[in-house]
Amino acid sequence: MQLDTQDSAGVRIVSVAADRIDAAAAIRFKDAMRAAIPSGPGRIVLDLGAVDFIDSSGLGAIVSVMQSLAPGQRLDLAAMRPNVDRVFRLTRMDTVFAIHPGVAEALRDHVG
Amino acid sequence: MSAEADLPDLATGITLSIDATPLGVRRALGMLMQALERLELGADETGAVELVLAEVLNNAVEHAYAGKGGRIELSCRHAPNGLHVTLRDRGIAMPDSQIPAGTENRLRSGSDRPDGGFGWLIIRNLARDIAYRRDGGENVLIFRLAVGRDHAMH
Repeated sequence: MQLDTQDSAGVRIVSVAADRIDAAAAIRFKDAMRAAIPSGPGRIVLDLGAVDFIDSSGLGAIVSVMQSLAPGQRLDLAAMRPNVDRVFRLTRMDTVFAIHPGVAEALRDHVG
Repeated sequence: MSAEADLPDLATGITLSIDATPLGVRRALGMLMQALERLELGADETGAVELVLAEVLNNAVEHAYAGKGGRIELSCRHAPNGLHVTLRDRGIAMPDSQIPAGTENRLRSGSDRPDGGFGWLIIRNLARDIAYRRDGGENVLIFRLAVGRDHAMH
């Protein structure tokens, strides 16, 4: 699973370069995410703009990454397309993450 | 009743025999979603159908067969009140022969595998008339997806 990373104003932006985070991809996604997250404190924005399908395995992988963050780290989500948004809403995980319409908004909302 | 995979006819019904692996599920979903194109569902209904089919197939792979592999038979038929789906596998039965409730609070339990609860939560939200039975060593799961209801049967 390819993830593209970029740092902007102290925020690590991780963009998923795949259209599916399904059961066949979830473990590789989780491993790639852990490798893409820096060790120190800070904010990470996961850009899901390319993802058109996610299932509960993919959701579980994102939740698991969030649970394994170090103190002072935070994972936000951005650019969720309707099929991805549906999964977060149905499982109420939309109340657990800060979700931004796009990466630009995620960076603009970042204060400090 | 089953049509050939390359000539799917959803009104009479299509049946797929699926390899119970994550990649087998992905491949089957590709075929099923292609077959569903002729129903001309909107993006919202299409997305919901693919999601539920993914969840029930993943459950068979991960829970019924516990990742050890096997075959899953999935039948779909389009009727005026929606898409009727039957899933059969020869894996282990559901706990207490019941469909899991689907929980929202696995997050708090600290489980490393919160996906099981999420999966049934999604299925229960999107599928109708869900029924499960154990039938001679087979799990049989039947449900309906209330999509494409304005289209006449072909």
